[in-house]
Amino acid sequence: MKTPLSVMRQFALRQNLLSVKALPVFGIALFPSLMAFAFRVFKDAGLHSRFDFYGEYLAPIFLYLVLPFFCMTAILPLMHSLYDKGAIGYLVTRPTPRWVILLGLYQGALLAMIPALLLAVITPLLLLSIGDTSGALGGDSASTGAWFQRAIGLFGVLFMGSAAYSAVCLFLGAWSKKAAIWGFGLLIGWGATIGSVPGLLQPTSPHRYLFGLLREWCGIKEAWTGFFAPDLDPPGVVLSIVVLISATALFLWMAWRASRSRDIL
Amino acid sequence: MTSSPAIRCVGLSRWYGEVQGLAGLDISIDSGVIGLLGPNGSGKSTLMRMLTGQIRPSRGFVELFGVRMGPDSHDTFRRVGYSPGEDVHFENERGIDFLKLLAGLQGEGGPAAIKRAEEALQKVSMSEYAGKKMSAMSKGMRQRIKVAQALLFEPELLLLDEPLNGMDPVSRRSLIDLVRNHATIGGTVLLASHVLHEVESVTNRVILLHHGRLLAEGRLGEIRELIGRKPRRVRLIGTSLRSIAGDVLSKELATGVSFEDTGALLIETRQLNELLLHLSDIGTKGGIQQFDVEDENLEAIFNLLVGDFSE
Repeated sequence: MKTPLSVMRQFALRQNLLSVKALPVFGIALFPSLMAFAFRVFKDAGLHSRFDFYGEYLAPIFLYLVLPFFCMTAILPLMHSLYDKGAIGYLVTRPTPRWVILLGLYQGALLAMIPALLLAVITPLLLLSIGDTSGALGGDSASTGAWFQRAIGLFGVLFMGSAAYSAVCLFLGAWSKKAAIWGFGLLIGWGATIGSVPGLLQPTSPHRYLFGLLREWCGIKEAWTGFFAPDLDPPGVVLSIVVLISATALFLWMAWRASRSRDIL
Repeated sequence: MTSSPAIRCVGLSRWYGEVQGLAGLDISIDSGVIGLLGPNGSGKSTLMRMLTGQIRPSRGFVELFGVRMGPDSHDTFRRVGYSPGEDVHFENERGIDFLKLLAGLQGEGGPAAIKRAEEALQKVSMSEYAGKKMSAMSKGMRQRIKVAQALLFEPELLLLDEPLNGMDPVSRRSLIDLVRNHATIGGTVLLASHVLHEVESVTNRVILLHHGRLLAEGRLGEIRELIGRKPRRVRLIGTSLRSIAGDVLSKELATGVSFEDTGALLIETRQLNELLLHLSDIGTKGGIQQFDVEDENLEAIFNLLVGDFSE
């Protein structure tokens, strides 16, 4: 049964997966693979095992850089093509509420991200784990089960993060013509940076809760990127999930409000 | 059927910062074809977008069939077909998929949506290009797709913003017929254009907008008299343009011809209707891909109506 919601979802899926719009997303998805490849070839981090590199270095990189750019490149061009070229006028002049149109776009774009997310998580896993018999220098090699547990956990965290940050991008795309600038400020500034720096604002950022999930689901206790101080009081799984789902719902609601108040010029 | 007029605007105003897009517009339209005429920037598209709830009024309000239009008035669109002035920016979609998408938003999916899309494409003679991607279509084809999507659910009210732009002669004629037929069966059409001749070919009832103000409302005949017999220009794109130029000169349908740097043919004429009829006969088979009437006199007419004789 086709509903307006499923029609919009399929449209966004088609737009983001079967067009040139997919290329930047997949390009970003390959970035961790390049790092994994470089690690394997040059072994410049010889003090660490491949397993630790995957969890404690690549996983935070996913959250700091890959995830925000992932969501921006998946959602903002889609919204730009609709709003800034006036194409949205064809959609909002149908007997369908605007929230259905936005929710369909959001769901479709999120679904279209899944293959790229899988690519981003699995390719480095394969690059690092295949032939990982020596393990850490001075340590044991991780079991296949541990590798996959870490990868599945990482995928779960990234999906939760994609849901929240994509909702932020959906709001920005519906609200502002300068969504890319706002997106950069919010996702990198408020998200990755403020969410990583201990202080009053840290609990307001979804990033902190993504790290909370990363710790619990992937068994990552330390992030040795060296950029930020560790969170001394990391949030638990339940709190993290509640906050991320609430943030997602809040930004979806804000996107709907923005779509009602923004003139389509 | 409701007793409320199809379109009603009361004190409708809109400012863009310090620029006034529309100023205190009061109109009421019941049925038939009404031309919304005005030069570029006169407020036609602003009015169209306000009618469809895409732009909020700074003051006043719009009603379609008695329903106040705004971002939440989506149910009214069951009775309205809207063809925007903007090009169709769904480049990756095929014509049929674009129409299916919009039919889906109206709650129709599967074979019913395909059937409806095919019927709409047939109405604008685009059936054979149904599978073509929008990005590969000519401007004229995309124009026809725009009109097709407005016709999808046989609406009572058609809002067409510059629908004839870039269409070839045959498509123009069939769209004009289609608009007339829609009015014949009791529908209402508001057709916006900056080309007087286009509107004149469809209706003699017009609303004249100038600088966002309602300049005049009524019959076109009086306005036509103001134009007199000043020459008009028709711009042609296509092949065999030199032979077409020679042809219209020899038939004394043109007072002059010239070619632009782009290769387009400019024909100056005092017998616009006869010339357009002749060009329609030549059609695409004779090498005409597109033509536009450059109605340079329109601005002059508006200036006359507002008492501005400065030019």
